[in-house]
Amino acid sequence: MNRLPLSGHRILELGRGLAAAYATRQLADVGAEVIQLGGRGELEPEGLNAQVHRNKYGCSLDPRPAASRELVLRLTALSNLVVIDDDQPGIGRDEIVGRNDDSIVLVMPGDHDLGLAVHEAARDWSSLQPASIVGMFAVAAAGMALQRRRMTGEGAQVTVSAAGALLSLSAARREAGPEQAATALPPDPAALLEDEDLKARAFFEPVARPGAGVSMMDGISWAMSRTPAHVRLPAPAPGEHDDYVLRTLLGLGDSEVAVLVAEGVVTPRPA
Amino acid sequence: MSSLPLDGLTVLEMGEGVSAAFCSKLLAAHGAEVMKVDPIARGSATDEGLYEYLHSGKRSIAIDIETDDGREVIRRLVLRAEALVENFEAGYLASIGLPFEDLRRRKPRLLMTSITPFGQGIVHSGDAEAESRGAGTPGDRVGHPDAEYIAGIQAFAATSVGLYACNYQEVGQWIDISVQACLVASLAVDWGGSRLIEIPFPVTAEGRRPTAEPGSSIRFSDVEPDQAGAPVPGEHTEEILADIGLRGDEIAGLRDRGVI
Repeated sequence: MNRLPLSGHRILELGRGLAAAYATRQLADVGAEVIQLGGRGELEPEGLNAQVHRNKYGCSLDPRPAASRELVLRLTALSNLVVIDDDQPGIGRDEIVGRNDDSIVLVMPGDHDLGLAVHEAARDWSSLQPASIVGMFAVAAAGMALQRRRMTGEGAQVTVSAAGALLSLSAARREAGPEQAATALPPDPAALLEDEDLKARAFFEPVARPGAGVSMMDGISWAMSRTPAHVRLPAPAPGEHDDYVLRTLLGLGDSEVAVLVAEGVVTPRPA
Repeated sequence: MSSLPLDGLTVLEMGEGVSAAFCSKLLAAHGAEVMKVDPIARGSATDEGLYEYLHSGKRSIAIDIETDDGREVIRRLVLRAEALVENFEAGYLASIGLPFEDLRRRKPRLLMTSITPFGQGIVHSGDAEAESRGAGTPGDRVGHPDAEYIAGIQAFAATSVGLYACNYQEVGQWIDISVQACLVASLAVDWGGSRLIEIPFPVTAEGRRPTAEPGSSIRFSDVEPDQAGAPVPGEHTEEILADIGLRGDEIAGLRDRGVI
Protein backbone atom coordinates (compact mmCIF):
# COMPACT_ATOMS: atom_id res chain seq x y z
CA MET A 1 0.00 0.00 0.00
CA ASN A 2 1.60 3.23 -1.13
CA ARG A 3 1.26 6.08 1.34
CA LEU A 4 0.02 9.39 0.02
CA PRO A 5 2.56 12.23 0.13
CA LEU A 6 1.21 13.74 3.36
CA SER A 7 -0.16 10.60 4.94
CA GLY A 8 0.54 10.68 8.68
CA HIS A 9 0.75 14.47 8.77
CA ARG A 10 -1.75 16.42 10.85
CA ILE A 11 -2.77 19.95 9.89
CA LEU A 12 -4.88 22.24 12.06
CA GLU A 13 -7.10 24.60 10.07
CA LEU A 14 -7.76 27.58 12.32
CA GLY A 15 -8.21 29.96 9.42
CA ARG A 16 -11.79 30.59 8.41
CA GLY A 17 -11.34 32.26 5.06
CA LEU A 18 -11.78 30.65 1.69
CA ALA A 19 -8.08 30.79 0.80
CA ALA A 20 -7.21 28.84 3.96
CA ALA A 21 -9.96 26.37 3.16
CA TYR A 22 -8.65 25.73 -0.34
CA ALA A 23 -5.10 25.35 0.91
CA THR A 24 -6.01 22.72 3.46
CA ARG A 25 -8.28 21.01 0.94
CA GLN A 26 -5.33 20.27 -1.33
CA LEU A 27 -3.22 19.14 1.61
CA ALA A 28 -6.04 16.84 2.74
CA ASP A 29 -6.44 15.59 -0.82
CA VAL A 30 -2.85 14.34 -0.79
CA GLY A 31 -3.23 12.53 2.49
CA ALA A 32 -2.93 14.98 5.36
CA GLU A 33 -5.28 14.69 8.33
CA VAL A 34 -6.79 18.17 8.30
CA ILE A 35 -8.75 19.12 11.40
CA GLN A 36 -11.16 22.03 11.28
CA LEU A 37 -12.42 23.51 14.50
CA GLY A 38 -15.90 24.77 15.18
CA GLY A 39 -17.81 27.96 15.54
CA ARG A 40 -18.43 27.96 11.79
CA GLY A 41 -22.15 27.54 11.98
CA GLU A 42 -24.43 24.60 12.48
CA LEU A 43 -25.23 23.82 8.88
CA GLU A 44 -24.45 20.53 7.19
CA PRO A 45 -21.98 21.19 4.39
CA GLU A 46 -23.48 21.38 0.93
CA GLY A 47 -22.75 22.93 -2.43
CA LEU A 48 -19.39 24.70 -2.43
CA ASN A 49 -18.70 23.87 1.23
CA ALA A 50 -19.15 20.17 0.53
CA GLN A 51 -16.48 20.46 -2.16
CA VAL A 52 -14.08 22.71 -0.31
CA HIS A 53 -14.08 20.70 2.91
CA ARG A 54 -13.96 17.13 1.58
CA ASN A 55 -11.25 14.89 3.00
CA LYS A 56 -11.21 16.93 6.23
CA TYR A 57 -12.13 16.17 9.84
CA GLY A 58 -14.38 18.44 11.91
CA CYS A 59 -14.50 19.12 15.63
CA SER A 60 -17.08 21.45 17.13
CA LEU A 61 -14.60 22.96 19.62
CA ASP A 62 -14.88 26.71 19.06
CA PRO A 63 -11.34 28.17 19.11
CA ARG A 64 -12.47 31.73 19.78
CA PRO A 65 -13.44 31.75 23.49
CA ALA A 66 -10.77 31.93 26.20
CA ALA A 67 -12.05 28.64 27.62
CA SER A 68 -10.74 26.72 24.62
CA ARG A 69 -7.39 28.46 24.33
CA GLU A 70 -5.30 25.85 26.08
CA LEU A 71 -6.92 22.98 24.21
CA VAL A 72 -6.31 24.69 20.87
CA LEU A 73 -2.67 25.30 21.76
CA ARG A 74 -2.32 21.64 22.65
CA LEU A 75 -3.76 20.75 19.26
CA THR A 76 -1.22 22.99 17.55
CA ALA A 77 1.51 21.08 19.39
CA LEU A 78 0.02 17.82 18.08
CA SER A 79 -0.02 19.10 14.49
CA ASN A 80 2.73 19.22 11.87
CA LEU A 81 1.43 22.51 10.52
CA VAL A 82 -1.14 25.15 11.49
CA VAL A 83 -3.08 27.37 9.07
CA ILE A 84 -4.40 30.68 10.37
CA ASP A 85 -5.87 33.83 8.82
CA ASP A 86 -3.88 37.03 9.32
CA ASP A 87 -6.95 38.91 10.52
CA GLN A 88 -8.53 36.37 12.82
CA PRO A 89 -9.22 36.96 16.48
CA GLY A 90 -7.94 34.54 19.09
CA ILE A 91 -4.77 32.50 18.85
CA GLY A 92 -2.17 33.95 16.54
CA ARG A 93 1.23 32.95 15.28
CA ASP A 94 3.17 34.23 18.29
CA GLU A 95 1.27 32.04 20.70
CA ILE A 96 1.61 29.02 18.47
CA VAL A 97 5.35 29.50 18.09
CA GLY A 98 5.61 30.23 21.79
CA ARG A 99 4.20 26.79 22.50
CA ASN A 100 6.50 25.05 19.98
CA ASP A 101 9.40 26.96 18.55
CA ASP A 102 9.65 24.66 15.53
CA SER A 103 6.02 25.18 14.57
CA ILE A 104 5.12 25.69 10.95
CA VAL A 105 2.44 28.37 10.69
CA LEU A 106 0.91 29.45 7.39
CA VAL A 107 -0.68 32.89 7.62
CA MET A 108 -3.38 33.24 5.00
CA PRO A 109 -5.26 36.29 3.77
CA GLY A 110 -8.77 36.40 5.17
CA ASP A 111 -11.76 36.92 2.92
CA HIS A 112 -11.54 40.71 3.23
CA ASP A 113 -7.94 40.78 2.02
CA LEU A 114 -8.81 38.36 -0.74
CA GLY A 115 -11.67 40.57 -1.89
CA LEU A 116 -9.43 43.62 -1.85
CA ALA A 117 -6.75 41.82 -3.86
CA VAL A 118 -9.30 40.67 -6.43
CA HIS A 119 -10.61 44.20 -6.72
CA GLU A 120 -7.15 45.71 -7.11
CA ALA A 121 -6.06 43.11 -9.63
CA ALA A 122 -8.84 44.47 -11.88
CA ARG A 123 -9.04 41.19 -13.75
CA ASP A 124 -11.95 39.15 -14.94
CA TRP A 125 -12.30 36.49 -12.28
CA SER A 126 -15.96 35.95 -13.02
CA SER A 127 -15.79 32.19 -13.35
CA LEU A 128 -12.72 31.47 -11.22
CA GLN A 129 -12.12 31.11 -7.52
CA PRO A 130 -9.14 33.33 -6.73
CA ALA A 131 -9.13 31.70 -3.30
CA SER A 132 -8.14 28.40 -4.89
CA ILE A 133 -5.17 30.04 -6.62
CA VAL A 134 -4.03 31.78 -3.45
CA GLY A 135 -4.56 28.52 -1.57
CA MET A 136 -2.31 26.68 -3.99
CA PHE A 137 0.58 29.03 -3.14
CA ALA A 138 0.03 28.07 0.48
CA VAL A 139 0.23 24.39 -0.48
CA ALA A 140 3.63 25.09 -2.02
CA ALA A 141 4.65 26.94 1.13
CA ALA A 142 3.60 23.93 3.22
CA GLY A 143 5.71 21.54 1.15
CA MET A 144 8.71 23.85 1.32
CA ALA A 145 8.39 24.48 5.06
CA LEU A 146 8.09 20.77 5.80
CA GLN A 147 11.13 20.11 3.62
CA ARG A 148 13.22 22.74 5.38
CA ARG A 149 12.22 21.55 8.83
CA ARG A 150 13.13 18.01 7.93
CA MET A 151 16.58 19.13 6.81
CA THR A 152 17.35 21.78 9.43
CA GLY A 153 14.89 21.32 12.29
CA GLU A 154 13.69 24.90 11.93
CA GLY A 155 10.04 25.81 11.94
CA ALA A 156 8.63 28.54 9.74
CA GLN A 157 6.11 31.33 9.77
CA VAL A 158 5.04 31.86 6.20
CA THR A 159 2.79 34.65 5.03
CA VAL A 160 0.80 34.12 1.86
CA SER A 161 -0.22 37.35 0.17
CA ALA A 162 -3.42 37.41 -1.88
CA ALA A 163 -2.27 40.47 -3.80
CA GLY A 164 1.16 38.98 -4.49
CA ALA A 165 -0.35 35.66 -5.54
CA LEU A 166 -2.89 37.13 -7.93
CA LEU A 167 -0.52 39.71 -9.36
CA SER A 168 2.06 37.02 -10.05
CA LEU A 169 -0.22 35.70 -12.77
CA SER A 170 0.95 36.82 -16.17
CA ALA A 171 2.77 39.81 -14.77
CA ALA A 172 3.96 40.95 -18.14
CA ARG A 173 0.52 40.68 -19.69
CA ARG A 174 -0.84 42.90 -16.95
CA GLU A 175 1.24 45.74 -18.34
CA ALA A 176 -0.68 45.50 -21.59
CA GLY A 177 -3.78 46.86 -19.88
CA PRO A 178 -6.96 45.55 -18.32
CA GLU A 179 -8.90 45.46 -21.58
CA GLN A 180 -6.85 42.50 -22.70
CA ALA A 181 -7.58 40.42 -19.64
CA ALA A 182 -11.27 39.65 -19.88
CA THR A 183 -11.54 36.85 -22.42
CA ALA A 184 -12.53 33.96 -20.18
CA LEU A 185 -15.30 31.75 -21.53
CA PRO A 186 -18.04 30.97 -19.04
CA PRO A 187 -17.94 27.20 -18.56
CA ASP A 188 -20.88 24.89 -18.95
CA PRO A 189 -20.61 22.61 -15.90
CA ALA A 190 -22.79 19.92 -17.46
CA ALA A 191 -20.57 19.75 -20.55
CA LEU A 192 -17.41 19.60 -18.44
CA LEU A 193 -18.80 16.66 -16.47
CA GLU A 194 -18.95 14.81 -19.80
CA ASP A 195 -15.60 16.02 -21.12
CA GLU A 196 -13.57 13.13 -22.57
CA ASP A 197 -10.19 14.31 -21.35
CA LEU A 198 -11.41 14.88 -17.81
CA LYS A 199 -13.04 11.45 -17.91
CA ALA A 200 -9.76 9.96 -19.15
CA ARG A 201 -8.14 11.00 -15.90
CA ALA A 202 -11.23 10.20 -13.83
CA PHE A 203 -11.28 13.81 -12.67
CA PHE A 204 -14.81 13.94 -11.29
CA GLU A 205 -15.73 11.62 -8.45
CA PRO A 206 -19.06 10.57 -6.97
CA VAL A 207 -19.12 11.31 -3.26
CA ALA A 208 -21.68 9.95 -0.83
CA ARG A 209 -22.81 11.97 2.16
CA PRO A 210 -25.08 10.40 4.79
CA GLY A 211 -28.61 11.65 4.33
CA ALA A 212 -27.73 13.55 1.17
CA GLY A 213 -27.19 10.81 -1.39
CA VAL A 214 -24.39 10.78 -3.94
CA SER A 215 -23.22 13.77 -5.92
CA MET A 216 -20.35 14.50 -8.26
CA MET A 217 -17.50 16.75 -7.30
CA ASP A 218 -14.12 17.71 -8.69
CA GLY A 219 -11.45 15.22 -7.67
CA ILE A 220 -7.79 15.66 -6.99
CA SER A 221 -6.01 17.99 -9.39
CA TRP A 222 -2.65 16.17 -9.30
CA ALA A 223 -2.63 12.73 -10.95
CA MET A 224 0.16 10.91 -9.12
CA SER A 225 1.58 7.73 -10.57
CA ARG A 226 2.46 5.79 -7.45
CA THR A 227 -0.08 7.22 -5.01
CA PRO A 228 -3.25 8.09 -6.92
CA ALA A 229 -5.46 10.20 -4.71
CA HIS A 230 -9.22 10.33 -4.37
CA VAL A 231 -11.96 11.90 -2.35
CA ARG A 232 -11.83 9.64 0.72
CA LEU A 233 -14.25 11.47 3.00
CA PRO A 234 -17.19 13.77 2.44
CA ALA A 235 -16.98 17.19 4.10
CA PRO A 236 -17.46 16.73 7.84
CA ALA A 237 -20.78 17.46 9.49
CA PRO A 238 -20.49 19.85 12.46
CA GLY A 239 -18.89 17.98 15.37
CA GLU A 240 -18.58 14.76 13.37
CA HIS A 241 -15.11 14.00 14.73
CA ASP A 242 -15.48 15.40 18.24
CA ASP A 243 -14.71 12.05 19.84
CA TYR A 244 -11.51 11.63 17.83
CA VAL A 245 -10.22 15.13 18.55
CA LEU A 246 -11.41 15.62 22.15
CA ARG A 247 -11.01 12.10 23.50
CA THR A 248 -8.38 10.39 21.35
CA LEU A 249 -6.08 13.32 20.56
CA LEU A 250 -6.63 15.53 23.61
CA GLY A 251 -7.32 12.69 26.04
CA LEU A 252 -10.36 14.36 27.61
CA GLY A 253 -12.74 12.25 29.66
CA ASP A 254 -16.52 12.39 30.01
CA SER A 255 -16.58 15.02 32.76
CA GLU A 256 -14.18 17.34 30.94
CA VAL A 257 -16.16 17.11 27.74
CA ALA A 258 -19.37 17.75 29.69
CA VAL A 259 -17.87 20.97 31.08
CA LEU A 260 -16.99 22.12 27.57
CA VAL A 261 -20.51 21.37 26.40
CA ALA A 262 -21.99 23.24 29.37
CA GLU A 263 -19.80 26.26 28.56
CA GLY A 264 -21.02 26.19 24.99
CA VAL A 265 -17.49 25.68 23.69
CA VAL A 266 -18.31 22.26 22.26
CA THR A 267 -21.58 21.53 20.51
CA PRO A 268 -22.24 17.80 20.34
CA ARG A 269 -24.23 16.40 17.44
CA PRO A 270 -27.77 15.45 18.23
CA ALA A 271 -27.95 11.69 18.76
CA MET B 1 20.73 33.04 9.35
CA SER B 2 18.02 30.72 8.05
CA SER B 3 18.20 28.96 4.75
CA LEU B 4 15.83 29.24 1.85
CA PRO B 5 13.43 26.33 2.02
CA LEU B 6 14.57 24.61 -1.17
CA ASP B 7 18.29 25.10 -0.57
CA GLY B 8 20.24 22.05 -1.61
CA LEU B 9 17.61 20.82 -4.06
CA THR B 10 18.19 20.74 -7.80
CA VAL B 11 15.47 20.93 -10.42
CA LEU B 12 15.84 20.23 -14.12
CA GLU B 13 13.44 22.17 -16.34
CA MET B 14 12.57 21.07 -19.86
CA GLY B 15 10.04 22.20 -22.40
CA GLU B 16 8.82 25.48 -23.77
CA GLY B 17 6.13 28.04 -23.09
CA VAL B 18 4.87 29.27 -19.76
CA SER B 19 3.73 26.57 -17.36
CA ALA B 20 6.96 24.66 -16.62
CA ALA B 21 8.97 27.89 -16.76
CA PHE B 22 6.72 29.64 -14.25
CA CYS B 23 6.74 26.62 -11.94
CA SER B 24 10.54 26.47 -11.97
CA LYS B 25 10.89 30.22 -11.55
CA LEU B 26 8.92 29.95 -8.30
CA LEU B 27 11.08 27.01 -7.17
CA ALA B 28 14.23 29.01 -7.94
CA ALA B 29 12.96 32.01 -5.98
CA HIS B 30 12.74 29.80 -2.91
CA GLY B 31 16.23 28.42 -3.17
CA ALA B 32 16.16 25.52 -5.63
CA GLU B 33 19.01 25.31 -8.12
CA VAL B 34 17.16 25.26 -11.43
CA MET B 35 18.87 24.10 -14.61
CA LYS B 36 16.85 25.00 -17.67
CA VAL B 37 17.43 22.89 -20.78
CA ASP B 38 17.25 25.09 -23.86
CA PRO B 39 17.42 24.16 -27.55
CA ILE B 40 20.69 24.89 -29.32
CA ALA B 41 19.10 27.10 -31.96
CA ARG B 42 19.35 30.63 -30.67
CA GLY B 43 16.04 32.32 -31.40
CA SER B 44 15.63 35.74 -29.87
CA ALA B 45 13.01 36.14 -27.16
CA THR B 46 9.86 37.69 -28.57
CA ASP B 47 9.04 39.34 -25.25
CA GLU B 48 12.12 40.14 -23.25
CA GLY B 49 10.24 41.38 -20.21
CA LEU B 50 8.28 38.15 -19.99
CA TYR B 51 11.45 36.11 -20.55
CA GLU B 52 13.21 37.93 -17.68
CA TYR B 53 10.18 37.32 -15.46
CA LEU B 54 9.74 33.64 -16.28
CA HIS B 55 13.40 32.63 -16.05
CA SER B 56 14.79 34.64 -13.16
CA GLY B 57 17.17 32.72 -10.94
CA LYS B 58 17.90 29.85 -13.32
CA ARG B 59 20.97 28.52 -15.11
CA SER B 60 20.70 27.45 -18.74
CA ILE B 61 22.26 24.61 -20.67
CA ALA B 62 21.67 24.58 -24.43
CA ILE B 63 21.76 21.05 -25.81
CA ASP B 64 20.16 18.99 -28.58
CA ILE B 65 18.16 16.33 -26.75
CA GLU B 66 17.30 14.57 -29.98
CA THR B 67 20.84 13.20 -30.21
CA ASP B 68 22.19 10.18 -28.32
CA ASP B 69 24.90 12.35 -26.77
CA GLY B 70 22.36 14.94 -25.72
CA ARG B 71 20.10 12.36 -24.12
CA GLU B 72 23.02 10.85 -22.24
CA VAL B 73 23.79 14.28 -20.80
CA ILE B 74 20.16 14.61 -19.73
CA ARG B 75 20.34 11.23 -17.98
CA ARG B 76 23.41 12.39 -16.10
CA LEU B 77 21.72 15.67 -15.18
CA VAL B 78 18.75 13.74 -13.84
CA LEU B 79 21.11 11.89 -11.50
CA ARG B 80 22.03 15.25 -10.01
CA ALA B 81 18.47 16.52 -9.72
CA GLU B 82 15.74 15.82 -7.20
CA ALA B 83 13.02 16.86 -9.63
CA LEU B 84 12.36 17.18 -13.34
CA VAL B 85 9.69 19.67 -14.40
CA GLU B 86 8.64 19.54 -18.04
CA ASN B 87 5.82 20.62 -20.28
CA PHE B 88 6.56 18.91 -23.57
CA GLU B 89 3.68 17.34 -25.46
CA ALA B 90 2.40 14.20 -23.72
CA GLY B 91 4.62 11.24 -24.63
CA TYR B 92 7.37 13.30 -26.24
CA LEU B 93 10.13 12.52 -23.74
CA ALA B 94 9.29 8.81 -23.87
CA SER B 95 9.29 8.92 -27.66
CA ILE B 96 12.84 10.26 -27.77
CA GLY B 97 14.17 7.73 -25.28
CA LEU B 98 13.69 9.51 -21.94
CA PRO B 99 10.64 7.82 -20.40
CA PHE B 100 9.95 8.30 -16.69
CA GLU B 101 10.41 4.59 -15.92
CA ASP B 102 13.99 4.68 -17.25
CA LEU B 103 14.83 7.88 -15.40
CA ARG B 104 13.34 6.48 -12.21
CA ARG B 105 15.39 3.30 -12.51
CA ARG B 106 18.54 5.43 -12.47
CA LYS B 107 17.25 7.80 -9.80
CA PRO B 108 14.72 6.03 -7.56
CA ARG B 109 13.71 9.17 -5.66
CA LEU B 110 13.12 11.21 -8.78
CA LEU B 111 10.04 13.40 -8.82
CA MET B 112 8.88 14.18 -12.33
CA THR B 113 6.20 16.83 -12.79
CA SER B 114 4.74 16.93 -16.27
CA ILE B 115 2.37 19.66 -17.43
CA THR B 116 0.29 19.24 -20.57
CA PRO B 117 -2.93 20.79 -21.83
CA PHE B 118 -5.08 17.73 -21.16
CA GLY B 119 -2.87 15.36 -19.18
CA GLN B 120 -0.89 12.28 -20.14
CA GLY B 121 -3.98 10.25 -20.97
CA ILE B 122 -3.04 7.54 -18.49
CA VAL B 123 -5.09 6.50 -15.49
CA HIS B 124 -2.87 5.41 -12.63
CA SER B 125 -4.05 2.88 -10.12
CA GLY B 126 -0.89 2.66 -8.04
CA ASP B 127 0.92 -0.30 -9.45
CA ALA B 128 -0.59 -0.58 -12.92
CA GLU B 129 -1.44 1.92 -15.59
CA ALA B 130 -4.22 1.76 -18.11
CA GLU B 131 -4.17 3.71 -21.35
CA SER B 132 -7.29 5.76 -21.45
CA ARG B 133 -6.87 8.34 -24.16
CA GLY B 134 -9.74 10.76 -24.37
CA ALA B 135 -11.16 11.65 -27.74
CA GLY B 136 -11.19 15.33 -26.85
CA THR B 137 -9.93 17.96 -29.17
CA PRO B 138 -8.01 20.94 -27.85
CA GLY B 139 -10.29 23.87 -28.03
CA ASP B 140 -12.42 26.26 -26.15
CA ARG B 141 -14.49 24.08 -23.85
CA VAL B 142 -13.02 26.11 -21.04
CA GLY B 143 -10.30 28.65 -21.44
CA HIS B 144 -8.68 31.44 -19.52
CA PRO B 145 -5.78 33.72 -20.38
CA ASP B 146 -4.09 32.74 -17.11
CA ALA B 147 -4.52 28.97 -17.60
CA GLU B 148 -0.80 28.26 -18.12
CA TYR B 149 0.08 30.28 -15.02
CA ILE B 150 -2.55 28.57 -12.92
CA ALA B 151 -1.15 25.22 -14.02
CA GLY B 152 2.34 26.47 -13.25
CA ILE B 153 1.27 27.34 -9.71
CA GLN B 154 -0.29 23.88 -9.27
CA ALA B 155 2.92 22.33 -10.56
CA PHE B 156 4.90 24.50 -8.12
CA ALA B 157 2.76 23.21 -5.26
CA ALA B 158 2.91 19.61 -6.49
CA THR B 159 6.69 19.79 -6.90
CA SER B 160 7.21 21.38 -3.48
CA VAL B 161 5.05 18.82 -1.70
CA GLY B 162 6.40 16.07 -3.93
CA LEU B 163 10.03 16.96 -3.20
CA TYR B 164 9.33 16.72 0.52
CA ALA B 165 7.44 13.45 0.18
CA CYS B 166 9.84 11.73 -2.22
CA ASN B 167 12.67 12.73 0.10
CA TYR B 168 11.24 11.38 3.35
CA GLN B 169 9.47 8.39 1.77
CA GLU B 170 12.65 7.67 -0.20
CA VAL B 171 10.77 6.87 -3.41
CA GLY B 172 9.87 9.03 -6.37
CA GLN B 173 6.87 9.38 -8.58
CA TRP B 174 5.44 11.06 -11.65
CA ILE B 175 2.88 13.81 -11.23
CA ASP B 176 0.64 14.45 -14.21
CA ILE B 177 -0.66 18.03 -14.27
CA SER B 178 -3.36 18.87 -16.80
CA VAL B 179 -3.87 22.57 -17.54
CA GLN B 180 -7.51 21.86 -18.21
CA ALA B 181 -7.97 20.04 -14.88
CA CYS B 182 -6.21 22.85 -13.00
CA LEU B 183 -8.52 25.40 -14.55
CA VAL B 184 -11.59 23.28 -13.85
CA ALA B 185 -10.42 22.79 -10.25
CA SER B 186 -10.32 26.59 -9.91
CA LEU B 187 -13.82 27.13 -11.25
CA ALA B 188 -16.55 28.40 -8.96
CA VAL B 189 -18.97 25.57 -9.66
CA ASP B 190 -21.25 23.42 -7.58
CA TRP B 191 -20.71 20.19 -9.55
CA GLY B 192 -23.41 18.32 -7.72
CA GLY B 193 -25.94 20.89 -8.85
CA SER B 194 -24.10 21.55 -12.12
CA ARG B 195 -24.23 25.31 -11.62
CA LEU B 196 -21.87 28.27 -11.43
CA ILE B 197 -21.54 29.90 -8.04
CA GLU B 198 -21.49 33.64 -7.41
CA ILE B 199 -18.89 34.46 -4.80
CA PRO B 200 -19.49 37.91 -3.37
CA PHE B 201 -16.28 39.53 -2.19
CA PRO B 202 -16.65 42.09 0.57
CA VAL B 203 -14.50 45.08 -0.31
CA THR B 204 -14.50 48.31 1.65
CA ALA B 205 -12.55 51.48 0.99
CA GLU B 206 -11.03 51.65 4.45
CA GLY B 207 -7.93 49.60 5.17
CA ARG B 208 -6.76 49.63 1.56
CA ARG B 209 -3.18 48.46 1.37
CA PRO B 210 -0.48 49.13 -1.18
CA THR B 211 -0.49 46.78 -4.12
CA ALA B 212 2.02 43.98 -3.68
CA GLU B 213 4.68 43.16 -6.23
CA PRO B 214 4.60 39.85 -8.03
CA GLY B 215 7.03 37.54 -6.30
CA SER B 216 5.79 38.46 -2.86
CA SER B 217 3.17 35.71 -2.95
CA ILE B 218 4.95 33.63 -0.29
CA ARG B 219 7.18 35.12 2.38
CA PHE B 220 9.05 33.11 4.98
CA SER B 221 9.53 35.33 8.01
CA ASP B 222 13.21 34.57 8.39
CA VAL B 223 14.61 34.66 4.86
CA GLU B 224 14.20 36.69 1.66
CA PRO B 225 13.44 35.03 -1.69
CA ASP B 226 16.18 34.98 -4.32
CA GLN B 227 16.08 37.87 -6.77
CA ALA B 228 18.59 36.77 -9.40
CA GLY B 229 18.23 37.62 -13.08
CA ALA B 230 17.42 35.35 -16.01
CA PRO B 231 20.17 33.52 -17.92
CA VAL B 232 21.07 33.99 -21.54
CA PRO B 233 20.10 30.66 -23.20
CA GLY B 234 23.11 28.33 -23.01
CA GLU B 235 24.98 30.68 -20.68
CA HIS B 236 25.92 27.87 -18.28
CA THR B 237 26.34 24.97 -20.70
CA GLU B 238 30.04 24.38 -20.09
CA GLU B 239 29.88 24.90 -16.36
CA ILE B 240 26.97 22.47 -16.01
CA LEU B 241 28.71 19.86 -18.17
CA ALA B 242 31.84 20.24 -16.07
CA ASP B 243 29.70 19.79 -12.93
CA ILE B 244 28.55 16.39 -14.17
CA GLY B 245 32.11 15.32 -14.83
CA LEU B 246 32.71 15.97 -18.52
CA ARG B 247 36.29 16.83 -19.40
CA GLY B 248 37.28 19.69 -21.69
CA ASP B 249 37.89 17.40 -24.65
CA GLU B 250 34.50 15.72 -24.20
CA ILE B 251 32.79 19.10 -24.10
CA ALA B 252 34.67 20.14 -27.24
CA GLY B 253 33.56 16.90 -28.89
CA LEU B 254 29.92 17.65 -28.13
CA ARG B 255 30.33 21.08 -29.65
CA ASP B 256 32.02 19.67 -32.78
CA ARG B 257 29.13 17.24 -33.27
CA GLY B 258 26.57 20.02 -32.91
CA VAL B 259 25.09 18.59 -29.70
CA ILE B 260 25.73 21.81 -27.76
